Amino acid sequence: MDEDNTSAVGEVPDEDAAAAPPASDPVETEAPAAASEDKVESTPAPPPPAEETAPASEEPKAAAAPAPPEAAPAPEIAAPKVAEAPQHPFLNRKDHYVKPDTRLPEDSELALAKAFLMSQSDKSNLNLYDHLTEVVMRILETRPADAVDVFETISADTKRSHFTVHKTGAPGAFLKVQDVPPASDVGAAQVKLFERSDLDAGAEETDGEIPDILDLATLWEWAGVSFGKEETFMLFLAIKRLIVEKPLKSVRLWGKILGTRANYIVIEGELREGAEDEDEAAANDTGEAGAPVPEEEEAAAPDAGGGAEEGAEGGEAQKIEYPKRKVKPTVPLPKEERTGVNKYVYYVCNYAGGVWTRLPDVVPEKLQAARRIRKYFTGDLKHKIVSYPPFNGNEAQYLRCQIARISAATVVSPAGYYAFDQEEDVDEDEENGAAQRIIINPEYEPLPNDQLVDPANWVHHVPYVLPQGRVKWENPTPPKNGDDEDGNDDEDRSDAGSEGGEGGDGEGEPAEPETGPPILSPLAGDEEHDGMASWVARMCSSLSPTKFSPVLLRCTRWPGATVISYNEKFANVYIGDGQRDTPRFVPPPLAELQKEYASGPGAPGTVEDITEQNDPTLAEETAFEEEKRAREEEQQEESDDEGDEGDENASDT
Amino acid sequence: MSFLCLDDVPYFTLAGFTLNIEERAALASSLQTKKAQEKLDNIWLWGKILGVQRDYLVAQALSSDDPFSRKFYYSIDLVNWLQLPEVVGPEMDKITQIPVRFSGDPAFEYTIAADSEEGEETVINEEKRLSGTVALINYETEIVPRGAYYRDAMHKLHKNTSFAGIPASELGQLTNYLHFREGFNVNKKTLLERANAFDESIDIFESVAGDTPKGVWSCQTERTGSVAILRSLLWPGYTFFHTATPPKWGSMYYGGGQRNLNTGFML
Repeated sequence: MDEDNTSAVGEVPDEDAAAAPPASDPVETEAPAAASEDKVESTPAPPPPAEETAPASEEPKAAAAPAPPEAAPAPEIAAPKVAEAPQHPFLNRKDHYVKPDTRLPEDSELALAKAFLMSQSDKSNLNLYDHLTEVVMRILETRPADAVDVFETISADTKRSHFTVHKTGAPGAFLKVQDVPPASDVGAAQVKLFERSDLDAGAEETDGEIPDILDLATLWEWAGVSFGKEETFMLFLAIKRLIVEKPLKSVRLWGKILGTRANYIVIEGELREGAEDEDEAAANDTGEAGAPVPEEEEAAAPDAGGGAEEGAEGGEAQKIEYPKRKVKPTVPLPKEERTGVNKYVYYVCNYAGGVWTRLPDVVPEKLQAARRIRKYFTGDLKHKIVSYPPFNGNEAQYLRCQIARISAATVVSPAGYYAFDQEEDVDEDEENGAAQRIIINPEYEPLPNDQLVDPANWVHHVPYVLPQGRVKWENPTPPKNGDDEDGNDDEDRSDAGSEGGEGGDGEGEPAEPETGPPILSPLAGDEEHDGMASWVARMCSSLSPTKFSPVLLRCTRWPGATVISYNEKFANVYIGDGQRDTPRFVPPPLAELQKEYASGPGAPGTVEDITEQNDPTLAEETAFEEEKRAREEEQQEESDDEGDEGDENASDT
Repeated sequence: MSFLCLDDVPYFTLAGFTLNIEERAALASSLQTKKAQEKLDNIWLWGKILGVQRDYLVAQALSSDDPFSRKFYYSIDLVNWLQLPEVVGPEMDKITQIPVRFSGDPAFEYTIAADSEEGEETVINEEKRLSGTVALINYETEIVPRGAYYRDAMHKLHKNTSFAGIPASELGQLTNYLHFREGFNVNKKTLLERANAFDESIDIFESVAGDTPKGVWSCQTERTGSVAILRSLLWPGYTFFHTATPPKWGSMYYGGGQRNLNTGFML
């Protein structure tokens, strides 16, 4: 007990000391702050006009003593340059203390201070307010001589006199409920990665290929890219788990997309041939829910028609005819199934160990829409994308589209690593260069590092995505779909040639097939981006011999896309926010307002020219009325005239 | 520890970037040498600006009594550090008008068209642009946790040695992070705001939660909620970390040195 007590005594002043500075601050800042200002003003006070000279006298003082820095930069402020251009607050900055103009009412300041003093300590269950009261009471009661010298003793003694239980298990002790931070399911999920499971044991042979991420991580680090050391290992375990659970032939760590609230780690996988992908339905289902705009419209149209009919039958009383929405019959372009842009499937999770979610397949219309917008990812796959022009989908679809765009533009390999599959049917190849199959060249000989540093020795091995949103061009069956080609100025890895050719969205004319650079075209063929080459290559180490220095390639079009290569190894990785580099993004202007009715001489349905006029004034109206009446009378008279002419003469006079 | 120690660089892997072995090794010695040569109180790594041809490493030195007067140094070869020139008012405006990336050559010259017809074209070299950009990024983004600095009764700014870090449960709240810059005006806060959760000695800077547009800071917790990572979306590349165990914080810039002008569309 003794020990406990002493330790308690030892602790208590400590804690007091720790609590003291913040405790005293709010109190002090009021009184002594004011006092100190008074001092500053009163020290040079002797000359009588103290108030006026006070600010002026502060400056020499500050210059003499460098201690108060808040006054020191003051002379700089006076420099004329600031006065000229106060555009950015940066140019006007100065470190000074701004005195509050208004203060809280004294009683509420007191209440705040008192509330602070009365906050209970977790350790001793005491608060400073009660403690001080007790100490002062005791001093007044016992009246010790030289009270100021024994103050600490009395304080410690008062504290000790309280009954406190230091051992948590002791009878009568209060058990404190700990504040639990919001459940860390992240930790729990990550622990699961380290548990052995039956899955690991049995499935060794059927496993697909997994990359040696840990080895690649050292390479990435050379390029200044990293997932974090521990995180990489956990990611490795998570990928190992993924490949057992899903029918994947091989996987690749595609990269990481940084979101505003959470990040996505993206895995690219190739499904085994013929394997059933049970996630496919679920992933694409969520996609379809937001997707089918045309369907919705079609569904809405008959409804409206039906409503109108019913109204007609029901009677005139509630016959409100809503204008029918004109639905353009757009037939969505068929999406590519397990080939082209959808050759690979993508799984994402928010953190290593999290649940892998399969992303939906790329739908051509969505890809076209994704090219026209720029949005940060939030980290929530179900988040609806609100943008102009509208994307009409959730973040999972947008993410998948961006991944397709980034892959097509930035996934590269050294020339010669892949070769065209010679056994492939030649006829098909001729029809569509982009659909040609490539295989890993068995005779590939790795290039030395000093040759890899030339972007000309690198080729794209992911097919180019046409403006249409597909790899293989599909003739849009009704040739009347002008919207499709809108995105053609915004291609990911475009070359000027393809853009010129595909303006053929004229109505009725058959659309001209879109073309792009063939697969395995060298990087040197990528058009310049914003006045600089699309790719920049350099050695990672400026000092080591080239043999030992990895080569780094950065894509300027997609900041964050990096390729790193070291002798026979190379790896593509993307870590970034998933946006193309656009210094100034200008969304397309709003379409012109639709006209409410057809006008002009040639417009269909026009009966006569409609011209706009001012409303008649009262005077004009009465004049018109009178004129009308006069005309009517005249007419009547005329009709009367026919009968009898004599009356007319009589009325004239 | 208020500025970036090289030991803390691994925290930034949580935001996807790091320095490679060569850089870390070289910086450890070259920065110390520079500090001795220039008789600086201290020198800290500030960040890396990615140029097209070469990257710039930037370091900052500050005087011990005023944390806001800084000197910046840059290096392209990891060894030789050169001081960045001061940028004055009108030039700063021109610098913000340059839309393209850094080229990697300090002598590269940008020609900026005149504002009006009678005005003259301005020529700014990349060294100057670098200086202006670094100062601007620093001003607009540098943050510290709330409570890490305080003003004493004489209104002098001090580092709070008894700052124990922001508790794990509050790491994700933006109100706990303050802009580390001068010019805070307490009168911009209403009395009502000052009546709750406001401490005159600690709340001496603006909180980043008030930055516009809303959502311009991305705040995430990593490592099972023990480290907070804040990324500026206005200056993509500025990353700040803070952890309470042990109480550490630091920030580093790793990016192209371009302000994101599209923030309004992207959030």
